[in-house]
Amino acid sequence: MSNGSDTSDALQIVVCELGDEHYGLDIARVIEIIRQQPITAVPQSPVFVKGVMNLRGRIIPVVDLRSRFGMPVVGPTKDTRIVVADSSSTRVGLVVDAVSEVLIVPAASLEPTPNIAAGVETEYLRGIAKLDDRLILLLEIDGLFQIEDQSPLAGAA
Amino acid sequence: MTRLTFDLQPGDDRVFIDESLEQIGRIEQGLLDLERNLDARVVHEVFRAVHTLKGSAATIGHQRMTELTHAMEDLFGAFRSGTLRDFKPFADALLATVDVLRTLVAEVAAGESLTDASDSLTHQLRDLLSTGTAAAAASSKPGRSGRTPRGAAGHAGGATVAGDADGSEAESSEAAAPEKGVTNVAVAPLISRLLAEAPAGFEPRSLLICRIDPMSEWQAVRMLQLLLEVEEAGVLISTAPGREEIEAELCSSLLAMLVRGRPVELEEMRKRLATIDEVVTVEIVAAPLSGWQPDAVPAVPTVEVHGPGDAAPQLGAVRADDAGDLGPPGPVERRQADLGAEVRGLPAAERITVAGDRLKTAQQTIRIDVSRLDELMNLVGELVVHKTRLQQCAQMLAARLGDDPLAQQADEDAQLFSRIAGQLQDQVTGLRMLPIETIFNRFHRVVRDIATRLDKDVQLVIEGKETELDRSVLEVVGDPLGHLVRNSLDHGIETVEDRRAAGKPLPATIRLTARHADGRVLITVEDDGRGMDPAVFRRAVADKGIMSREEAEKMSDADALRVVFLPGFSTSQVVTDVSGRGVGLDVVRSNMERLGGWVDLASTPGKGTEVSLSLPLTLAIIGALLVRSGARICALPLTGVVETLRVKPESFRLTSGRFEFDLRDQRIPVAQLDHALGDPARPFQPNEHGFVNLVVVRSRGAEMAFAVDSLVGQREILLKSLAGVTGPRHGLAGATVIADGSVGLVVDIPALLERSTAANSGAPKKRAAAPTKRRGTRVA
Repeated sequence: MSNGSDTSDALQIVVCELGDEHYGLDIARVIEIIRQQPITAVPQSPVFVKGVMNLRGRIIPVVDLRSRFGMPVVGPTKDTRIVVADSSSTRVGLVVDAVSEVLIVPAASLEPTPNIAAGVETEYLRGIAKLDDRLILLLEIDGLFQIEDQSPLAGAA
Repeated sequence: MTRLTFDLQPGDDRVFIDESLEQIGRIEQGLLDLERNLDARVVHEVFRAVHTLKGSAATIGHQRMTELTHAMEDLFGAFRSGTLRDFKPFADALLATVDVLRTLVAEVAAGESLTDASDSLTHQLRDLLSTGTAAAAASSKPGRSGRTPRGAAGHAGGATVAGDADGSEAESSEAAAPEKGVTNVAVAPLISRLLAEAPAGFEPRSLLICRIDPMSEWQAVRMLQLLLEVEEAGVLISTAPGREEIEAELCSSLLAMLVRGRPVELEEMRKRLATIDEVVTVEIVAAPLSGWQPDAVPAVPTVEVHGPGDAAPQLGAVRADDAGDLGPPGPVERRQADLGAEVRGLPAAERITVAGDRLKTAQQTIRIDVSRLDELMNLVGELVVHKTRLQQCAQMLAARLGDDPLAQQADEDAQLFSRIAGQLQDQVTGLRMLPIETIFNRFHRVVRDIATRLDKDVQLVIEGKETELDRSVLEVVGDPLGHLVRNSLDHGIETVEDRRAAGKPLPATIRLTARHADGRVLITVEDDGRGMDPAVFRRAVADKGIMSREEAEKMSDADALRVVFLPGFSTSQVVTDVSGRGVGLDVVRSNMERLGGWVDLASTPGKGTEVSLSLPLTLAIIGALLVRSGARICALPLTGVVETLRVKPESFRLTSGRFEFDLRDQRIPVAQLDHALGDPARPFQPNEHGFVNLVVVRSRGAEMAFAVDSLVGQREILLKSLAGVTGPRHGLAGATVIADGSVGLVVDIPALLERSTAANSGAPKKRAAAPTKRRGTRVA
């Protein structure tokens, strides 16, 4: 929140931590942030889908962002949170190491995604926010949750 | 496009749209029937539906729709009177009219003009009518109804319907003032007028006095329905108010009809009339044989807003004069209450009044927004889940408190609650059940249109259209079915020449059937077309590199045909060229799987193809056996569970890569449930006594046993979709929230069984056509 506040063009983000990296999610897409919940693993899911959880009667998939980004998966800690967010097609839970803050990022601090970004495929990124000395990768929720249907003959009737 | 405004109260547009679409559906079905066979009864039905539609359109001031239906009505009038006898030349234009009518109805929702085709269609119909009648007149001597070609309609609703059975009513309304106006008419003047105008005769005659709900917005429509019903029975002599007055909406809530026959003979008709919507009462009174003296009713006790008195015979005049100062009809209720008194005041020989009519025995329906029904279903679902929890609480309480009255009270209350919740669930589930007819019927049109375009001769046969389905299932089954029907038409059915050459019957048949089987709904689409050749598909998968040529050769014929369901296979040029089949069948399959259904296909080259869809009856609440398997709870729908067993793992035999065991005289395959669902394999987990818990399931005659870590119990579960979660998931019907708030997975037994048996090669173990007898589910 360094530069002045041109809020009209600014983006408000929820900042999450994964290892040493900081990621930002558009606050408009974030529904709530909750503590670790019992998660039921679902067979035949992509590896980064931890399973499903019950959010007040609604069943939503939970994605482990660490495994989504190919980082080593760690057990839950007291800081582990599930960010419940809306993608364009469904509501999802995103498991992160911690949620640190909510920031307003002025438009001037936003930069497009460079071609090679820290091992994260660029379709999940909508840009990078440079704040003082920090780099925050802004996530594109829809890209995060795009799962290619990779089931050829396996399920043939 | 121009904005449109209609004469509708907020919220009424829904009623108009729903009712209109219903009528249009009826018309469309009628047209398709008529194209095959010009049945006078169907002509009547269509005429009536068109007429109702016209009335509704006029009521809300939908000018173009009124004109179009008007033209259509005239055309059907000519069919009714027999002036026109050949339906075929009119079929295309009339069906096109149906489509435009739907758009016109949609305009009411949209509030703007969506089509400009209606005017030209109106003209086209008029032209067709005049050329048709002219041709008919030229070939025979001109009939009375040849007068129909109309100029510009002078006043809305002033229909001259060709073929009115009886001329008397036409004259009877000459005096009617053409202006629109709300009028209130007492029954006595109506009757005096009827009898004064009716030709004297010696046959037995009766008066039918019908009262329509005074609050109805559709009085004119209802009156026409009544009128048509009586007219159709061929007993109508005359009515008051007359047809023209009704059409101009110069009517109130009372309709009197003079009919042939004694009251007792008319009882059936009275019952029929009483079932028409918004008809409050129908009474039959014997009419005097000869002319009627108005002054013979000196003291009709009535509290009409305008007294009947001596002005009664001049009905038209009374209305024209009094319409202005009538004001709002104040004592509506009183008038209704006094109707009986008025009738009693008549010099009638006999009188039949059935009190029950006043309560309207006919089915009373209301339309409910589907989303509200869904919400209701959701709530009931939650209630049912909590019912189980409440029972558990009561049991725990009993365990802790023993004979304490509090525990007993809790137990009783829990049971009562459970009973009520169960009944509520039945009711709500029933509310959502609809006959599959609603989906099936639309295919008459599809088949007709496509067959015409492809120049094929096809008849559609429908069986089991009354089969009921939950609307959640119903609304998703339409598209896959449409796909299959189109496929059959496009690729299955041969051209007329080819069929002749092959010596196959004409027309070709597409058969749609629906029936309940094993707690599911089975829908089949069957054609007697050219069928599919498994050899072609073996080649195609090999050419496409989906499997090796060897593997392809090893597939059974049935499996070879099933490759059409593979994703991506459908678009293959190879297949499209060779057989033309398989377009989008993978879409059908994935749609079915999302619903917890499956699709199968059987075909004989040269003989035809049958695709069957199996669907759950409802997608909402199901009874299930909960089991623990690995780290999670799974729910097995009871419809597929045969029994539970404890078996020592030593009795399992490894045969060609899979475990089997002998159950009585059967050899049954066994698998760990979680492994079958797609988790990594793990050894069987016997309990401390050395037994493995097995759940025997059955689907389509095949049985299999799933090993589970423990049995949790039998519950009713609210099935929730996993659709949004990720991709297709074979063997899972969805998920459910279990008592501790975590999520359990609901197993799709048919799909899982199929998957498991297919994965292990070889056909599923078929049980020799034994009747589906349950061997007693032993569940804790």
